[in-house]
Amino acid sequence: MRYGSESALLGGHVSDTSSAPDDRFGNLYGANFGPLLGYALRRAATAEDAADVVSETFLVAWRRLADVPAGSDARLWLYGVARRVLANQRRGTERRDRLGERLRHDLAAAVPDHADLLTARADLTTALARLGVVDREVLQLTAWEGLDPREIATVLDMPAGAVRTRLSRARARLRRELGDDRGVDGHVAGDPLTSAPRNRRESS
Amino acid sequence: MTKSTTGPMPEPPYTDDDVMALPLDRARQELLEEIMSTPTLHTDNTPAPPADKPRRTRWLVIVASAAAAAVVVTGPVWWAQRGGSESTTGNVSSWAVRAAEDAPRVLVDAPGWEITYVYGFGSPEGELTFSNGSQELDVHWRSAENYDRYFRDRAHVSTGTPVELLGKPSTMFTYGEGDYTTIRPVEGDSFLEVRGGVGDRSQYLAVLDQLVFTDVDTWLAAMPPEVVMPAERVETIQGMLEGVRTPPGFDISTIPAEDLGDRYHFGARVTGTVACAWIERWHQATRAGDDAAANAAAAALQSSKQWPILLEMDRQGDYPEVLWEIADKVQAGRFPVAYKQGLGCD
Repeated sequence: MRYGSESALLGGHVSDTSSAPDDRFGNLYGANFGPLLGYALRRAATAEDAADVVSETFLVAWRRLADVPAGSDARLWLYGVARRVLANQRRGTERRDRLGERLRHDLAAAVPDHADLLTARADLTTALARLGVVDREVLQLTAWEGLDPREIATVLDMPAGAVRTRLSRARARLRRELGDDRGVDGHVAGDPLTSAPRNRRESS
Repeated sequence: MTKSTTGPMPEPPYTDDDVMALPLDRARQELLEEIMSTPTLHTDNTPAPPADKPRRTRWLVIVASAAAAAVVVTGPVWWAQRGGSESTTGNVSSWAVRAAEDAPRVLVDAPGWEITYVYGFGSPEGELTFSNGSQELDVHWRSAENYDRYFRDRAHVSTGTPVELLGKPSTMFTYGEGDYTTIRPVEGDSFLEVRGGVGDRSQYLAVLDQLVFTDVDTWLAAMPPEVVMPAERVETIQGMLEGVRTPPGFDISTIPAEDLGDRYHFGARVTGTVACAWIERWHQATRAGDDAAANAAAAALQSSKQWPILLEMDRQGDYPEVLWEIADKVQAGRFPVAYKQGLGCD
């Protein structure tokens, strides 16, 4: 069994040119565990799903370490993987591996009110939920992950110019939505942001 | 990667600080150890090369939906013959064609307009973005069951105005100057919403007038070039099968075309179908006590580690390793229980 360098994990020092894959992965993991877990928690229906997204994404990174880009693009690469893992969850596909039992357990215990929190936020993000999927993703990646258009383009595999256009338009659309006080009635049920993926999974 | 503002964007349900404060140190360490004790096929010490450009991750391990069931069909190995037969070509692309038949096949019938982004092809809900370089129009298709909710939602935006959209009385709503949306009543299992920032009201209506329904071939041909088109599918499959050992009688018409995916996803469809056919043969031979046939099938699966298309895909994602893990199980004489799911041929 090979373990990563704990000092690297704790220190969060990223050395992309490390000669040892174990060290490189340890650094990658340490530097990105928090951001990736945040990405997953902000989007997944349950804490367990968020844990699965983190586990699967890092497993892919471990197996494809040579393909993980260096520098800050590594996080974009991870977001891109996580996005697909989330999409798979929503389509109801089964997990291939079953890693991260402890993370699933501890995370569920750490955020016992996850579903309530999402429900509460759903009221606040009603306007966001009215947007199209792509507009919403562009806005979320900008505001929640702090990505710029070039980075979003990498995650979504869109031309950067198209992201800029999208972002500008999506902002305007969101502004109009927020300026239109429609209350909960205006919420469109079934939107990915505000409805539980597990419900869609069951119905699919 | 710095935080930037988006104006009126709602706060996230969790901030990074919230996440960092969660008591997960032990779980984090345990997961790391679990992952790093997972075997990889490539454990060389070569440092990862710098990415020459931002890379899209096409790692997806495809798990087939019920619609993508692969059926092992015996028939002539005609795929090596350039050109093939038209009827088989039709079979190969039949899923995509059926998906297109069910989809709202909308195009903008005006010079310069093309589809620039597709989301959800083959799904009950999706989105097409059209652009002519300076203007963009989004065409959403959504499930019929959501029509009332969306209409009610848009009715809060503004008073609806009757317009005609694709030959049907529809309702236009105004978000603001230069931002309009039109909802078309349910037709079949879905309804359309067309939203555009294409100029003023008259310009928007002019573009609406240029929307047309098209036939399947025209619509599929208008898809962005990076997707695998049905007309190109046979040639693409033939290319992907170069260097791939296929079972006797393997028929490429058995390769399902679940969606118009990219080369990685399509390669998974192709190699998954071949691998599943070998596994099926191995399983049958094993049960029949035909050691020679079983060994041949296992060897063929082992040869997948040299299949050029899988080596190509191995740089992009995880699918080849799934296939190789299964091949190793077969080689060890163990039935790969969930192979259909793992390879996308269930």
